[in-house]
Amino acid sequence: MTLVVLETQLLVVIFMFALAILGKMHAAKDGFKILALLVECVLCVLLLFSAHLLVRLATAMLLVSATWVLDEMRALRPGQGCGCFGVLSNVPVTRMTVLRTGLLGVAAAVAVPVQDTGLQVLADLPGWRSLLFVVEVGLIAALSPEISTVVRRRRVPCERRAVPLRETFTALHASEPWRRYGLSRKAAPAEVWREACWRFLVYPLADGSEVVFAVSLADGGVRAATTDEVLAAPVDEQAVLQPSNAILTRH
Amino acid sequence: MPTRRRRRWRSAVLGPSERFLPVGEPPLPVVEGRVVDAGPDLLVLWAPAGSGVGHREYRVPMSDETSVWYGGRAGREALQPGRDAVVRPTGDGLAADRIWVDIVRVNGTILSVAQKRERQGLRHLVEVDQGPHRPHVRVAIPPESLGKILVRHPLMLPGQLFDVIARQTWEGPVAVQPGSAQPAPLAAPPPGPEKGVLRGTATWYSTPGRGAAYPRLEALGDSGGCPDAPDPCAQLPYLSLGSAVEVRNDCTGRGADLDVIECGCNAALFCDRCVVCGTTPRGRLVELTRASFVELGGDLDVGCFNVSLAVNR
Repeated sequence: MTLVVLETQLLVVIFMFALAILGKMHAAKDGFKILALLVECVLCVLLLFSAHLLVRLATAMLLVSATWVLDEMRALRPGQGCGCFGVLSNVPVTRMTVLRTGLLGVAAAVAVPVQDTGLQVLADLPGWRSLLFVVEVGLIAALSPEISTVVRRRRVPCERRAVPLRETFTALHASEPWRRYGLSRKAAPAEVWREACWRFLVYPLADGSEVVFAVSLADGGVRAATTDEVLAAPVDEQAVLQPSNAILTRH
Repeated sequence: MPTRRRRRWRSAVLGPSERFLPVGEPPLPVVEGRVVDAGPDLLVLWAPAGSGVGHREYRVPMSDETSVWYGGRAGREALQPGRDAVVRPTGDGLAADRIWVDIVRVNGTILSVAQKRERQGLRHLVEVDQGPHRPHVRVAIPPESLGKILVRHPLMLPGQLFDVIARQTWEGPVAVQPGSAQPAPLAAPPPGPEKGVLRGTATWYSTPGRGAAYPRLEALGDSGGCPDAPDPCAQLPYLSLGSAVEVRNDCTGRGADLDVIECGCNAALFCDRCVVCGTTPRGRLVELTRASFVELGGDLDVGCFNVSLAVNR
């Protein structure tokens, strides 16, 4: 029974690494985040395929260090998220976040003496292991502020919802305006930006002009206009407002 | 800056924007430049020309009512050649109402705090990370300002937020007074938009020209947002560089449509209120450039005004 408990800890750590990798892959990346993603990928793969002591120790040390870093962050940068699971972890670090990472560190430390690789343990999952696995993952989920973020996000209006670019491209490529202009799916947009519930994408056309698509993030509707229509469009009032320093001039 | 092109594209695809705020009082004509000369009744400034090309001289009449800020209320002797000045005219535009000399604002996250013993007492040197778009700044807090700043910023430690109004000197900014209180833990999110209009706080930042830094720019594509920016505590929609926002100072009734010219990652960190005329819900909705803040009737030394903000959609 003890062995079952220890082996389940290994699976829990691998599962949480996989979730963290998925989350980070769907978030904006900088140098540090790419490094964190790579480290997690390497450890996740090694835990699956290797039972080497160094891999297990490195994993436990990483999670214990992360617990300490999160605790410092909670005290010194109270408003910031940890980014542990990508955009879902933009919520401020709380005691629960620290506790969760600490528990994962304990799980990784407990799993150090397990003889089998993660893959071998996974093959034996049915039975007590699966029950224990579900209970532990449930406990970690209960400690995670990310769960409430996901629940809240479902109710968030489109203007405040984070929408991946992939979803916009899927809606655009399936639309009638896209087919009308005969562009290749591999064509890269010259410019992409967002305003509230609309994402705009500009593509160069073969004749040297440009087409702009507006993709609704509320219902996936797509509208399009070409350069000719753009030039004929009225400029909004704010563009012709006088700049500062224009009026109070007395010579 | 893709402002105009994006606006044209947007109008072509979606048609004219819907307005949410009623047209208020027009913005004041503000002059922002270097002092060339100052007499008892006339201030001469070298400032960007209204056409947007080059610089020119501006002659601004001063009256007995004109007040000057130079680290506090000051006399006309503060208007020395070479100093930086922002002039707000009176409502009728005939003379200067208020003049701020060498005023800057330092806000962001504290990186380090050092102390230096001087004859007058202990001088604190605070290094502040102002976000990815603005430089790190070391601001000095002289002993006479320390008490005022500690009242609002009792936790002057690395990692804590910091916001002060300062006077620019050749050694760097010298803090004069706090710009805001440090944010308290957020009990509940502030209310969302009511008929498309959000209410909250507008602050300013030390950049010349007109425009606004907006705390919720999208980080994907060419929108110009910061990947690390936290969720602002106000319920703001996602926008991009070049988007337009309707801004109205609720204390003066003056309003303008402003371009988003920078990511307001710093403003997103602050979850405070403004109490210039009534108490706002928590959250900084927008950071305005000095000129835009003053054009809407804001006082730079006060640091904020109650604002209504709507997004063209």
